[in-house]
Amino acid sequence: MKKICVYGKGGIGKSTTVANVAAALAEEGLRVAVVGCDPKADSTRCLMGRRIPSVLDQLRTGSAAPVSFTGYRDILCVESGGPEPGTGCAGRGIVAALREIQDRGLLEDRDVVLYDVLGDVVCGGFSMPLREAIADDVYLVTTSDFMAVYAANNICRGVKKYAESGGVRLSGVVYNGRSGRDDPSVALRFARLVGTELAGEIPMSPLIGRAELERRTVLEAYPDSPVSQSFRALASHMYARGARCIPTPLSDEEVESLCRG
Amino acid sequence: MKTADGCKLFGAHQALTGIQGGVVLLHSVVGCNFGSMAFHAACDMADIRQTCTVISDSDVIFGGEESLSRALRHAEELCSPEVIFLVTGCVSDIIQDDVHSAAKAFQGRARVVTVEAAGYRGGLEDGYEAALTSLSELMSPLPTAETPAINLLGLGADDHRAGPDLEALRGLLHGKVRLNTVLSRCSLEELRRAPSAGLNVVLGRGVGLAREMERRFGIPFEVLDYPYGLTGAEGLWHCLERRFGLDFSEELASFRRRTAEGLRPVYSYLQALYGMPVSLIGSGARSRGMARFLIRELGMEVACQAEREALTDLEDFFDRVRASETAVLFGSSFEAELAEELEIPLLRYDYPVFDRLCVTCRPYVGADGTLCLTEDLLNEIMGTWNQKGALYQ
Repeated sequence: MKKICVYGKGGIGKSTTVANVAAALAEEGLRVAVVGCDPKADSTRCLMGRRIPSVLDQLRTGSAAPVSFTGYRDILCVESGGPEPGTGCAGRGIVAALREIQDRGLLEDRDVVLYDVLGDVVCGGFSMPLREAIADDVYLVTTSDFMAVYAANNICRGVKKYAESGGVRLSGVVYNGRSGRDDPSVALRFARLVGTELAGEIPMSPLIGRAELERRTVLEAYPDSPVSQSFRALASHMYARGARCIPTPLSDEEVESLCRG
Repeated sequence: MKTADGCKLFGAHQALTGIQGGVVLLHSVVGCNFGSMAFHAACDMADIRQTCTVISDSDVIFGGEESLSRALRHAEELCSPEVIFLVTGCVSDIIQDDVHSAAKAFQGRARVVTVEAAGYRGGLEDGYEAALTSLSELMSPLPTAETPAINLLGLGADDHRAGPDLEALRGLLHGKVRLNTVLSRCSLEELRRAPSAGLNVVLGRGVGLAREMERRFGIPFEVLDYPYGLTGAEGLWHCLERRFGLDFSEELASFRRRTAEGLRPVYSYLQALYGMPVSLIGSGARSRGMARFLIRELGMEVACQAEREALTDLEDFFDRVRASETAVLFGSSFEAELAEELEIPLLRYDYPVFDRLCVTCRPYVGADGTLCLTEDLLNEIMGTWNQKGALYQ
């Protein structure tokens, strides 16, 4: 089983990337699962066409109802869920949900599992996918904006910590062109500097937003579009495994210098 | 590492659980409830007024505010208290439960007093101070009593011999000064009456509340060590003489006579105590008060002394005691293991004591208390096979 984890700054396009990569891998006949690790529990919305109950919702109510659902092209969808904004501990929620998923053996028959993790590695809970052999490969999604690269570099610090003591590795950087400044060279240079490579480029496209409004992936809604081809190329790269490395995070000054061009 | 002191939550529990008419609600995990109740049980098993939200994994993830609201309702149904002392622990502090809103939204008859006492934010003394200071919100200005009256601050509900000691302390006042309110061993009515006292006598801890009462009600305060022995009683009397213009010289002479007569039959044994090395550990005011008594009145030599709240690792104190010639150890139940290892007697005088009971009126302060303390010391030495020879030299 290939276990891939996608991190990046909030709102950078992680869920879009994960859903479309999952769809592309499923097109190839692979048995794919997507695990949303975000309290908002909306990572799988475009694969399911709706919001699904989360693992933590079920745990809280003691319900025996299922927590995994089959969506587009039989992709298994699971949402960890979490507390209402401003209450409780979302990090602890991720830990509890991932343990529950493991205990129930929900992902055992899958060829590929994609974890879509909220924002930054803000605490121990959000680094859970990096630990205990939950993920093997980490991909960082970024635009060419300074704050996005800054966040990606920060995540490299978390990956480095767990890569040194376990098997998880940084396997590539995904460039998302949805930004005021479309400059993939920033992501390419960043990838090389931290020790990996650019795994793929997602161009800015109105089709992405349109498909999301339809609660579908771009691959389902606009299968022949160039942006769908980009996701397919990225999916092949991810499945083939990229340049796995223990990342060497940059200093803040190096990140600033890189983004200045 | 062996910790020498309890955490902030235990201190808060100690400050609040002795207030009759109130109930302590711990918003914490089961261990905090179990531990604090275990320490309390040896003191008064018949009076356990505490309950707990027992924070679960689900509370950690989703927030414990619902559980807290439910627990507040249950506490009222279960105990019908006038006041619920809501003491919050580590978990609710980490996840930042909005406990104040939950307390404010509580619709019951009981008033809710909230004390934040996450264990990682302070030790036992910090918790005691924070909880005691929070009690000022239950007080309102009152005219000062016409007869001299004092409040006594610094007693813990679960202190070993707290009941007998309190009666002995009352006896030391000989009716010349009225004991108004004792914190924390009082009713809510007595607590509300606290602002009518002319002086707050602080036995080491409770300085925060004393300052607050000075600010709000103009009540001065004096900080004393725990008044063991004649020197302890003298310290208390001097303070009262100075503050109220009283004279306790007759009481002083009577104390001397009573202890001298009481100890006359065992005088030769007392001589054996001169220069005997002892070690003691305790909360600051108790440790200092006991050391003063042992040195000045029994002529013993204090080889090692530690104030519990200033000690990070109990093992450091243990090592110092091991390297000394200590013949008797003074401390709490936590030091029983060291006393056993060194085969020396342990005299329990400091919190927590959970392996001894005290149901008879045998105080350790006042004239009779001094006799009890000395008697226990001699008996402990006589009961230890490798020590008793020292008494027959």
